[in-house]
This record gives sequence, C-alpha cells and structure tokens, in this order.
Amino acid sequence: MDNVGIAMGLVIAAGASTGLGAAVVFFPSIVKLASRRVLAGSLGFSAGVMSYVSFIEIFGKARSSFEDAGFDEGKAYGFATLCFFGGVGTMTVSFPNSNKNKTPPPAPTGNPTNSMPKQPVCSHFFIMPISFSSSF
Amino acid sequence: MNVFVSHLLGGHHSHRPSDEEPSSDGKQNDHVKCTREDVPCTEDEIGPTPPCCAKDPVHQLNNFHKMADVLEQEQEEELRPGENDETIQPPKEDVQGVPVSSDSVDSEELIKNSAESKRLVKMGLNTALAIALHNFPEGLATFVAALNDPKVGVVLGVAIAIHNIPEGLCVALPIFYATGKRTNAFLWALLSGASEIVAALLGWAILANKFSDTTYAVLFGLVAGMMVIISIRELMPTAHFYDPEDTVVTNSFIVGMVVIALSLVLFQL
Repeated sequence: MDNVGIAMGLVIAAGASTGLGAAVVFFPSIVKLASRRVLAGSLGFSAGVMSYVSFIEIFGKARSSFEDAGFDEGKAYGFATLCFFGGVGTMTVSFPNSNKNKTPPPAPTGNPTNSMPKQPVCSHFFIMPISFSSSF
Repeated sequence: MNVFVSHLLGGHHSHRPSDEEPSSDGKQNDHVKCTREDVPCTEDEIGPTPPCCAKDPVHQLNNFHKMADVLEQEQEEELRPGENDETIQPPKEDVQGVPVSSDSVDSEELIKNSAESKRLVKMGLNTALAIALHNFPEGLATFVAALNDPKVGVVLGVAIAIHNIPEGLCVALPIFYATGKRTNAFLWALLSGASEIVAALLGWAILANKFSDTTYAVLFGLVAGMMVIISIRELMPTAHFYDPEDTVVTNSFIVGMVVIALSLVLFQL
C-alpha cells in the first residue's frame, strides 16, 4: 500500500496528457503535427504496449496474486483466466463498440505512389459518440 | 482569403501530391461533398452526432488544419500592426483589444454558421463523454498495477498517456472551433482526462477497504482482459483507419511490444 503516491501520480500524469493534446487549441500550428501517420503510429505503439503488458505482465500478476492468496498453481491459473475473460466480457457488454458505424475504408486504388490515401483521421473519437448514443 | 487558405492547404500536402487527387470511388466523393463545411449535413442520417464527420473524419481534420491556418494568419496579422503593447502575448489576447478589421471578420466567418458550431460543440462534448468512459478502466488499470508493482504501472501509464494525447486533441478542437473559447475547449478535454483520476480514487476506495491478494488478483485479471479489448477493438481499428495500407501500424505495434518487453526485462535484472 506504500505505492499510493506513485500510483496516483502516474494516473494524474496519464490523465494530464489529455490536456497536452488539448493544448493544441493554444498553438494552432501544432495541429499539423497530428498527421495520419503520427496518429496511426502512436495508436499502434500504444496498442502494442497495452496488449503485451496485459497478456504477459498483468495476467502473470493475476496468477501470482492468486497463488499468494493461497490457491494452488492450477486453480490460480484457472481463476486468472476466468478473471481475464470477465474483463473481456465487461468491456464488450458495458462499453459499446466505437467502430460499429464506421464506413469501411475504400479499397486501395492500385496506384503505387498513393502510399497514404485520404483516410479518416480521428474517426475513432468522432464515431464513438454515435455508438454511445445509439446504445443508451 | 480562401485562395490563401487553399494555397496553404495545398502547400501542406504537397509532399503527398496523390492526396489531392479526387478518388475514383464514388462513396469517397459523397463524403467529401457531405463534409464541405458550407453544406449543411443531414443530421438524422445516423444520429445526433454529425454523420459527415463520423463518415469521413479525414476531411474533418483537413478542415481543422485549414482553420488552424486561418487562425495562424490572424495571429500574424495581429502582430503586424504593432501599435498595441500586447504583441508580446498575442495568442491569448486576441479576443480583446483587436480593432475590427479583416481578421475578425474572418474569425466570424469561421463560426458564422450557428448550426455548424452547435454541431461541433455537440460532437466535442459527446467525444468528451465517450473518452471519459473509456478512460475509466484505463485509470483503474494504471492505478492497480502501479500500486502492486510500480514498474508495470509506469509502463501502462506511458502507454495510456501516449494515446491520450490524440484523444485530448479530438475533444478540444471541435469545441474550440465552434465557440472560439480556448479555455473552455481545454477544460472539457481535461475533464475527460480527469475520469482516469476518478477511476483511480475508486480503485483506492476498493483496495483500501479490502486489501488482499485475492482482490489484487481479480482486479489484475479483469484489467488485463479490458485492456486487451481496448487495444484490439478501439485502438487498432482506429490506427488502421488512419493508415489503411499499414505503412506504420503493425511496425509501431511491434516496436511498442519490443520497447516494453525490453524495459520489463531490464527492470528484472
């Protein structure tokens, strides 16, 4: 319980980075840094980190915590798996899919120079509200 | 003015000339037609949020870029007169003390269409709500992980901070361009980020009352599943929408895994 300060600080920093993104309203020239490639790269990087940490590290922590709590190895593994899918289910049921109403991207035109065709930017965030409003 | 803006826009995209070519796909043309800011969008098509922006957000971002150009130009024009002493801090003072001139007309032009700005405000607020909801499990995850093991918490915190930046951008920009109020836009985005802190406080309340290995284990399991779904259902599709030909997404996914694996391994040593 002695890590409360660190944990709180981390969460505040993570939340404050939303403000960092929002700070573009004070500096219009920065908006252009948010190119499709940069956004795609940062989201991909973030997804890689989050899935790796979840599968490898946090799942392992769940297992070892169950073992610390007195369950034997097999039961700990089983309970960790159950909780994992509990999280999957919670997310699927209670948080609507934000990509439901998205139009599929147009097929590549076959033009070899067209390496980054016009594609939605911020679609994830702009679409999300639709699925929220339709699911309530 | 418009010529200038389009010139700037063209200049901005000149490194990818193919961007400006109209797509042969009819659907794409429809979207472009719909997202023209001077054409009112049919709102009842999908729902309360602007369908055009949802259907073709790239055009939305192009609009944002365009508006940023306009604003930049305004700021430059403000600097040019030089007769007022406020030139040292022009960006924040542009609301007051500016004589009525062409630049203020331009900014009125930006927000003249009240329906358009209402639409934008609604979009921004809806986005803020959506992001606040999806930030909740993330905040809980970071807090629980950091409480048990700060190194995992740091890793998670960094990953979450990285994708919170574009999220904040997407909340703040529509509100700002609709209302012209920088502070309002900024505060709404901050508010959506603050839900992480609320989640952390909730996690603290749970753990402080019932601090046991089993609680940790259950929370860890739940959080792992939720994070996987967030990244696979929310982050990856969005990344692929930005970059449909996968020039960077898979690579950055792998880089993310490698970086985090390396840092975890190094922490263990």
